[in-house]
Amino acid sequence: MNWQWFHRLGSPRWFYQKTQAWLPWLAIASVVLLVTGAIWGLGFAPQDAKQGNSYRIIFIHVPAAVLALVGYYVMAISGAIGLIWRMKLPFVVMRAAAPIGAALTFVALFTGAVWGKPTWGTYWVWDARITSMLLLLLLYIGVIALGQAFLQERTADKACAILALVGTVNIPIIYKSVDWWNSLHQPATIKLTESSSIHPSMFYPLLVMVVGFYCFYAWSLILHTRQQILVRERKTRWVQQMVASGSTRLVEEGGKA
Amino acid sequence: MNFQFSSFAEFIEMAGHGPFVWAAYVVTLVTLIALIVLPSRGASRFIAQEKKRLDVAERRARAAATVATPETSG
Amino acid sequence: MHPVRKQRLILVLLLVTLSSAAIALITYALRQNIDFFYPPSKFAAEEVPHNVRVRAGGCVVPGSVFRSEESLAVRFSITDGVAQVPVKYTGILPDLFAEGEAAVVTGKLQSSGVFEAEQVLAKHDETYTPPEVQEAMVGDHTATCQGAGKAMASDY
Repeated sequence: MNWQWFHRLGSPRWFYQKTQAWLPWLAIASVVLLVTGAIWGLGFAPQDAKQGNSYRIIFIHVPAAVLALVGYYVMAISGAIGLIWRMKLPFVVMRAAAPIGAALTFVALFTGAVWGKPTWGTYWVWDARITSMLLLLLLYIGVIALGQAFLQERTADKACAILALVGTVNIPIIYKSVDWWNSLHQPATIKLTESSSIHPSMFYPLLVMVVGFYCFYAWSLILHTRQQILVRERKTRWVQQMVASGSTRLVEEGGKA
Repeated sequence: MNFQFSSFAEFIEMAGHGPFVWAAYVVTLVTLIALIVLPSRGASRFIAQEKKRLDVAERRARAAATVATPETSG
Repeated sequence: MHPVRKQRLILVLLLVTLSSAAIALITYALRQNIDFFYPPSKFAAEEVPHNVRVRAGGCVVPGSVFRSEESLAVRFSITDGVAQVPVKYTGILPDLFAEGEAAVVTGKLQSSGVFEAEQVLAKHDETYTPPEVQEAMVGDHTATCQGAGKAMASDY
């Protein structure tokens, strides 16, 4: 099997060059989708028969939680690829995914808390879903902290990857916690195998927001990765050339590379 | 599909749920903006810092060269 | 694939499998403690200790809610379809608390069999519908304790 394409993926410079053109499109897609979804969800979706307007938090709570979980797999799988193939780029992606995942987990927890008060009657309970989500936040913070604890980048990368991989067990636990145990949190609304238990007039804005959050995640991940690439590759000629030109844009000499 | 509220004040009020809903949206918005601004600013700052470092090193090298030249020539 | 990489792949898979197995065993051992509340059938089976702070959860039996006229005291029963637990509570109930909806109560089971609640939380289900649509499905109105029922069904 030809693995050349795969190893090219491991080149930070190739990544920096390739993603440059994607950034404006991802930015436009994210902003358009998120603004549309938010206005639709806040103002135009009908209110819920039981919860009234408080349910409008779902349009950010669910997408943030989905990306917090998906982002963990992004981080762990990048770490695994880095460990197995000893490539630079996957480790950078792994380290870049940690702060984004932590921020989105925080958003999911915070929006959940302010949604819980008007519906359940409390901001916080220690049920299986919420506690496992808090554990996810701690795992993300753990990866960030572990990455900063080592002087040597290679050692830090390996340690972070191992912690990220061990933590993957938490993801199915979070997802299934509401089915496996008695919890205050309700089961999933969007189901993969059966029809979702949300009216189409509320489902479409939610879908727009989920797609918007995916685009946003890609956008933010690429930005974080590019920043880390600059720092890690600062000794290379191509970064030095960018430093000399004073711009974060990589201009290929001789037009097309 | 219609706007669900009859006035802007009602939209903000959200039948009493306003503080919860708006708090959730504002905190999310601030977090998302930070997730874009921080890495972008970090990258430009890094480039600027490196450029400054490079310029200082260059100036020092040039200064050393101009100081060294008369000595060697004289 | 290069043999060294294959070996590292196996190591990574082993790491994930072993740690997952360890966590699975721990959560299995602690499954009773991870449950947020006891369903009423556990009360009926005398599995819930008396005079200890516990939580009970179930569907608020339609027609069982009696509010005191001079204070915030309220009486109601919760059920999981198997058994019922009578609950006493004094205080403000959450907005979503209603007959036919699920609730989780924290408090102590008295020797008399009455549950003295110090906190009542409303547990809502995962369905979202506009009011007009909700009114159109009148027949469904009382059968909204799916969330609670489902959690309990998985216990057996």
